[in-house]
Amino acid sequence: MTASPFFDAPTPRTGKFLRGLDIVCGCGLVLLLGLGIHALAQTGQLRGELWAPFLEPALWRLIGRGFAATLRALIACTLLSFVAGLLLAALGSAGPRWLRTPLRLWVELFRAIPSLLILLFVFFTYAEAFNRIGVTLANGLGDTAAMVLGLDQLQTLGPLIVALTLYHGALCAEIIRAGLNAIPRGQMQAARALGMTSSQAVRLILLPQALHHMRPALLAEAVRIAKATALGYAIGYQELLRTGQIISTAFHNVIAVSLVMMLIYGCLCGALSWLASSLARTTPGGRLGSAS
Amino acid sequence: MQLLIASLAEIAAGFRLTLLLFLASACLALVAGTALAIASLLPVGILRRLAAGYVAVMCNTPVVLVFFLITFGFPQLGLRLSFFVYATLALALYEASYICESLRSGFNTIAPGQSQAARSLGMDAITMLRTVLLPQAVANAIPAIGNNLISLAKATALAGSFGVVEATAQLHRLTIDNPGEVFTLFAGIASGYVVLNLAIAALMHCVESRMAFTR
Repeated sequence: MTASPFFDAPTPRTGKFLRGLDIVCGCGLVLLLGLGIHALAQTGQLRGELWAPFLEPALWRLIGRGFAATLRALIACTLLSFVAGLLLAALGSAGPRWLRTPLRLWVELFRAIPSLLILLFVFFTYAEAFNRIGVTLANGLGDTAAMVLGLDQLQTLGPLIVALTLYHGALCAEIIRAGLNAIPRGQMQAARALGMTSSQAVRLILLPQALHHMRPALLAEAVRIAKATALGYAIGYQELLRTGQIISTAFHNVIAVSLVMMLIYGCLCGALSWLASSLARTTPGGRLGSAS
Repeated sequence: MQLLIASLAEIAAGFRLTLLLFLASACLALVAGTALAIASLLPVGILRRLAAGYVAVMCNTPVVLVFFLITFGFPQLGLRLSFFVYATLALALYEASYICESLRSGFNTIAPGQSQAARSLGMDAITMLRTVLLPQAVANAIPAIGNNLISLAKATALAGSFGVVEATAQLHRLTIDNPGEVFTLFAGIASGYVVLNLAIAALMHCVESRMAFTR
């Protein structure tokens, strides 16, 4: 048991009391878990035939395809959102003056709308266009490339990428802008004193530092994007969750499927979160841009 | 524009549900999040681990999956409730973990001298938590909680895919009747969300200045 920062080291009597409390809570937890498992068993959720499908390799091939579709959306959305965020933040703070207010408004607007609403709008408006692009590209690139890029599903993948880039690009822009604002003003002043223009100073001096310090926050945004790819469910993009839904309709095992999906998403997001927090530990804290 | 005026009743009904969903799940999430944050601070090992585990699981699960599990899983367990209740539960369970994290960082910014002073004044743990730590933690965490609530308001849109006919589901319905006017409908409903989020931000700003204290 680690010490809580808000409590003194317990006296022997309190220590005994706390240990007792620990055991009582533990027993309560075990009881609760038992009740939960009992409820699952009572309603027949632990029957073998609901879980047996997960022993079939064919089912895991299906899940693998869903996972690949999720990864495809994740990679495309993350890259595009970072680029969009970079452009919005850089142009918003060092671009032409007439462009700055519209860009701020753009960021504020897309931060205030649910990403699902954006997704539905893009899907209703451009699904056909994306479908045509997918067919054209698939004819041009050949079957292997079409399968790797998921061109057969571009009708739903395209709107998902566009919508998530609009939404998360605005969020990334805010992260990078916060990073730029956190850099001491002396950096900009020194760059200007050396004769750089302000756009040169932002590009060569401020942005590299801001990006370095905001790596953990940007990775945390990648975790949010990974979770947001599950929105593809709503428009029928056959990613992980949609695959799970198809499996659960076939075998009537919603709870089993949900638990397996939670495990897979947990591993994916957990790996990204772990990377983010280990980066946060190795990124020096304290004043940004100060000699250390 | 004429379409927006003609379908004002539907859109308003959608936003009424969005607002109700937001209020219900926000209340539940605030209570559950505070309980989780306190559990994660108590010197009782098992409660801390339980709270940390819950937060870790929820922060790494897509909210759509939580909706999926509750909306389709609960009926299998014999819990037949309305779609609105399912959606409220899903949103509250999901957002509680984020509110817990915000409150925990609010607790972490309290100077250690505060609890030492409270202890040396002879306060017991509960009095200290209630009168010294919690008020400061909440005041510190208000901006972060405001962001959580805005995320929650946006997440209510998902309920539209799980049986609740709120504002985003109205976009879906109205588009089927008027396929040519998606943009008008989108602009109308999006501005509704912008107003809702601005209202939440203004409210949180108000609360923040109310709760501000001098250090």
